[in-house]
Amino acid sequence: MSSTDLGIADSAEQLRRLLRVADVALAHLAPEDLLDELLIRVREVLGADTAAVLLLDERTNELVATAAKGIEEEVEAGVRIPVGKGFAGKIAAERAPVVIERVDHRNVMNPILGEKGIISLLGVPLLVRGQVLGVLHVGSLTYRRFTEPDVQLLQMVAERVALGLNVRLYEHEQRLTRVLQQTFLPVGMPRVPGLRFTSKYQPAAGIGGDWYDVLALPSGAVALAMGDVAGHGIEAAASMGRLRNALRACAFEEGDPAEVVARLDRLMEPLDIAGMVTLLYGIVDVEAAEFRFVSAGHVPPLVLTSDDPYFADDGRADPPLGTSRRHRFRSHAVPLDGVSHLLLFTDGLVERRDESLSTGLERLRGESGVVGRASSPAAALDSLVGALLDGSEAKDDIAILLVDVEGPSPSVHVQIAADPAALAVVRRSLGRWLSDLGLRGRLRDDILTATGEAAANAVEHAYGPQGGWMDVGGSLEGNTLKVVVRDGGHWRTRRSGRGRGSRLMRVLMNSVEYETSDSGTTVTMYRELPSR
Amino acid sequence: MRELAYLALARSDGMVLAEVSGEIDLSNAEDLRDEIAEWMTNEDHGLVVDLTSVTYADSAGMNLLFILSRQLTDHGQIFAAVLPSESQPRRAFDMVGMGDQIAMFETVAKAQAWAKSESVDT
Repeated sequence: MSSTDLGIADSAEQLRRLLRVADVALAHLAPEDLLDELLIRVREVLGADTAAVLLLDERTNELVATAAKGIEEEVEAGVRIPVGKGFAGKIAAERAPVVIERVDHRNVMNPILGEKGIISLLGVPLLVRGQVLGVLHVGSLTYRRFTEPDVQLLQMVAERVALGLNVRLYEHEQRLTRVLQQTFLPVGMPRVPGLRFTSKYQPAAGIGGDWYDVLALPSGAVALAMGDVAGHGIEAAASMGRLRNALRACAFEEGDPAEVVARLDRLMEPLDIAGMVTLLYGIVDVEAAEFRFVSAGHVPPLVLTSDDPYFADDGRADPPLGTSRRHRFRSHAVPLDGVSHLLLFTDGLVERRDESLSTGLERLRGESGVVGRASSPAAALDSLVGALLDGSEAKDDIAILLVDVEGPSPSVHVQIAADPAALAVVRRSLGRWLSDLGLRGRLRDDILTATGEAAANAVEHAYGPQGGWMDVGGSLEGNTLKVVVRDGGHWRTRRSGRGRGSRLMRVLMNSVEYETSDSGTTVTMYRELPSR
Repeated sequence: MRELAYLALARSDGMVLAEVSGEIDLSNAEDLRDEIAEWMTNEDHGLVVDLTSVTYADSAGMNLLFILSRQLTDHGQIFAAVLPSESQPRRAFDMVGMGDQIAMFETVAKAQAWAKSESVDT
């Protein structure tokens, strides 16, 4: 065996080791860490003094120094090299390896390479399916002729790195996008008497520009938004965040939805939002029994009634935001009489590749009966998405906001015979109302227990054998829940103070007041609800 | 008004297990107490009332346990109640300090183990 053969066998073994490291690193490390680790190995295997990776920034078409060994300054200085310029720029532009035997300042763009005293350079592109992801290069501080085997070795490494990096960068961006997007969606829904909001957000892989918002306005009305920012990934999610905040600010100024949307439209340039944005913005006013909205190129809201559901637009949507200057948006009014629900959504819910949007909308209208039949609003949205996707994977994000216009009622009222059997009835009515308000767990239990005790007192103490009535009412004022239990009898024992029942009422509620008169006794209890 | 709650009674090794499910209030507490008390004999070492499946109990329910507990301990019998924490009955009972007055356990197994050790001691 000649010494040359030995050398080849040796480098083949080295290469295997290197690729193994690459695979392990790709599977376990964050992109930055994995590059550092790889560059150390690359430098070893090729016997080079420096090794560096520059990744392509697609927006500016520049290569950005991302990781380096032996020339760490390159990364620290944030070196950016335009594609087509200098050594690295040439590799990216030509998508081919470049060897420089002796560096001279005319063919090297990056001053750090010269300052470091690098004499010879070899660089290869990081390619995935013909697309340039970046550049990998090694350098020598002494004169060296990088050979064809050196080039091939570095190319093999680059191929592996590019593939892994592509996946890792993609996953990393996916995660970031999700996190970013989540921070811009409302955490809880405002508690508004007469309205209940339920949302569902189902992200699709690689997308990230849908958003929805529910905001209680100072006037007492509620602003609803459902929007879709063109594009995907972190860019779209970040644009969505800026828009959401700007819309909140515009909405808070109140006014007709047409004014609010016009305000936002004028901000598109200052907000630095380049892509197209569709938006449905509306205001629900329970007192006026009206939903007034603007659709800027967005799919129309579906209005569910006791009769046929319908899409609340006249087929003439306004253009998307940022597409025409000083557009005069028109608002549509939907009277809420006879309306049970409003359904706002993004086109991901109805769009299928092989059919028109109107076919998709019709399908949604056909399936919307499930909302009235489902056991809960959340279950309704799950069924609706399930029925519309029909087993196929969603190609786009899906955001849905369901507004229950009929519930929860701001108050509940039961008048019933003051009989032990009535206690369960009182618990059922009050319990259902509390659930409708979104109360559950201990808070709901506490209010039910205290009310049960007050009602039990009326049953036990208010009347003689001939019996009588009791009257239980619950109401919500802001975040204060009030329960009033009234009877028309005369208490045989003094009402307050003693007994486990009265003690329970006092510890479970924030305050308990007793009022006795000739016409009966009234117990009023208050419980503060956590704001959300 | 027994529809609100269901009662299952069983006896093994001289210990009675009364499993109540549903809701206990003024309308059924006394009936439940009577039925449990009637099932007990003088030969029984004690009683475990399992309220794990009770979704609601008011002060009438507390009275039920309190009276049963007193009746049994007065006769040298053991009494234990099973009330998992985080349940509505347990919270209500704890809020009025009932936890100190009767022996309460998280599970039937724990209540029975305790009852067994108590009956050996006596």
